[in-house]
Amino acid sequence: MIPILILLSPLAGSLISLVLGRRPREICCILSSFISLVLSTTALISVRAEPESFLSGEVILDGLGALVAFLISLIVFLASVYSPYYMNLDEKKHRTYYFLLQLFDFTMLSVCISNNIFLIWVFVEATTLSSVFLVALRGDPTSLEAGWKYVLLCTVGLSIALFGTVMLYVNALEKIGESGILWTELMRNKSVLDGRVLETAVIFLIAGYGVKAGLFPFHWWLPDAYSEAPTPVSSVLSGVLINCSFLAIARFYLLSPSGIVSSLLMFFGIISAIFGSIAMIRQVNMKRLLAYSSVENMGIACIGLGAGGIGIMFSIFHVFNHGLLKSAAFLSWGGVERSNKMGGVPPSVAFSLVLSFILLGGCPPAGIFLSELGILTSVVRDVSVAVLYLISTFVSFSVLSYSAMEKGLGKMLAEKSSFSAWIIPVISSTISIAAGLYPIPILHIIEEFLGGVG
Amino acid sequence: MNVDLAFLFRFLSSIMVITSVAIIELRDLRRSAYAYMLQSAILSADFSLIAMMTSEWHMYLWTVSSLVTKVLLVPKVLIWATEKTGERIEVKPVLPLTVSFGFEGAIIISLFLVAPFVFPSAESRFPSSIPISLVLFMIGIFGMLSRKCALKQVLCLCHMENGVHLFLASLAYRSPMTVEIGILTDAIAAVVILLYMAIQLKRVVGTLDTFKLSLLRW
Repeated sequence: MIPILILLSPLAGSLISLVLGRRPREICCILSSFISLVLSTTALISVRAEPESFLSGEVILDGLGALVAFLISLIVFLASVYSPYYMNLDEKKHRTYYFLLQLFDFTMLSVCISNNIFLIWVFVEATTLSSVFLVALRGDPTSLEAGWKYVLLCTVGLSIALFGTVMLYVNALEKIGESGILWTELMRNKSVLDGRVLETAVIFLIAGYGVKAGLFPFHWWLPDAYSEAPTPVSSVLSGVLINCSFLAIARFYLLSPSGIVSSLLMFFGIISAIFGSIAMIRQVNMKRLLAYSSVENMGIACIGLGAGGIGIMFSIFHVFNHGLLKSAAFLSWGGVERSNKMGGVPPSVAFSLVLSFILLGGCPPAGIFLSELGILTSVVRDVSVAVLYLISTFVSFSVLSYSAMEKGLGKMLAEKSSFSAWIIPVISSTISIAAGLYPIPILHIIEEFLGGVG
Repeated sequence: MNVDLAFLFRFLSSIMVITSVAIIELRDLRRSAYAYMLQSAILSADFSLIAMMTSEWHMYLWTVSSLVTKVLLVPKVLIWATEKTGERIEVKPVLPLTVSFGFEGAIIISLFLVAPFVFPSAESRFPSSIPISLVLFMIGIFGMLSRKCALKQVLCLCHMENGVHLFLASLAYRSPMTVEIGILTDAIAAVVILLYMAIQLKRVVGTLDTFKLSLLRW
């Protein structure tokens, strides 16, 4: 019953926080996200190769879902601890913010454990709808513009995904029967399905969910939304929302992991990686720079998926590490922004900024280095892909470390900073370093998942 | 009996194509919303025809739910939004009328030529439902790209959703009730949220012309 309990806690938290006062509301949010963090950690520890199913198969707990659910609840927990420090909202916005943040948490967690292909779509759409007012929270012209672009583009993209879902379902209905609505059943009987229709459906699904993941031609909602949203929300959007869509892409890609689908995924992955890293060069706004870094990293993950073999394993590992470090980078940049208003950056905040940016670029102890290396080994046979891939990772590393030095090592301030300004980013950076130094447990979970679903 | 229903289905679906061109081309937003209302009413009729032809009783529930949401609720909210923002006539679209008609004609003809080969089974059961749903979807995307007015873009999105729903109903009419409820709720919630955002845009930014939204570039 753990997966359902994971969902209940943020849902209950969001409803309860509507009736609470200011301070209790913040505590309620921290508590509810902490409970779901504890539950998802137990789920991650107890996950087995054979996915467990609940509610007649509608809900499953498998390695991929548990890993992303753990990441979501961890980052939402860190963001909710960080929010009282960072946010300075009036009463109405305060209530909206905490209500929607937990609702957003609930919808993202639901994506991870849904097994019904239509419900995956419903919940991914629900993540857009619950987060649009978080993006447009400030209510000024730029944030409204960002919110408008975000919700319009993602809704259009997801209607393409719905087309793909229907095609997949119809194909399954003819060949498997009523149970073909479940993803696990589709995986089990994927050889029975009509290959051409399956490929078309999967391309539609990848294109649709790719909009939400920020792949190249449809990436342009992402820098706007990230730069306009309040920093804790940006950290959740960049850290885990795109991972949710990546999870959907990975699940559907595994139905047809070869031929034209993987070439297309690889193609869009390369364009996204190159475009994202080049667009990073000319950014002055740090949040936009980090957004383009997300485009680049999603591209890298898609290259890994398209390459197949160990590439799939390392691309899942990559989005895990990217989520941790990207949210760390956003939160530490939030700390720098706040301290700059007071005259200078305290050393502790500067440390957290430099640490998270350099690790995000792919510096060795972090898990992201390992995953980038793993994906490189899976594409190394194709020289042109490998060269483009190396260029994009190199450019992104240089830009990130340069801007960390430029922004972090400016005017120093001797006085002590608020504790949560730097400890929270350092926590998630540390987890990523730990994952880089001792990756066996996580890689084992991913490997078992890939083996279990065939 | 069945043949008559199939003929009726084809006839009604063909009118949907005409309404879809009307939704995109009418510059008066209220008239455009009424055209959408007509299209949704035909869609509901199509749902009940599918229910009769397949004797799947829950398709009648689809009929009722789409009557309530698409025919009554969404046009009502759209017209309310035009009054709230004071924009009756949309800003001049990107393309002139003749070019726009040309694009729509090309979309309609090419999809009618291609679609029957993609889904032969559905084509025999519900004639021309697949090409028409694809036409609705593609014309919606075309309208989304070529119109500047935010409210018109919301209408185009609703129009695309009609296409997806027709596609869903004619291919996956056996899908469980929960699926339909979830998809419909999301669609309606998306429209309401988009209209709310459009009203906010008008209030704060002072325009509904999305091409003028260029505060954020690069």
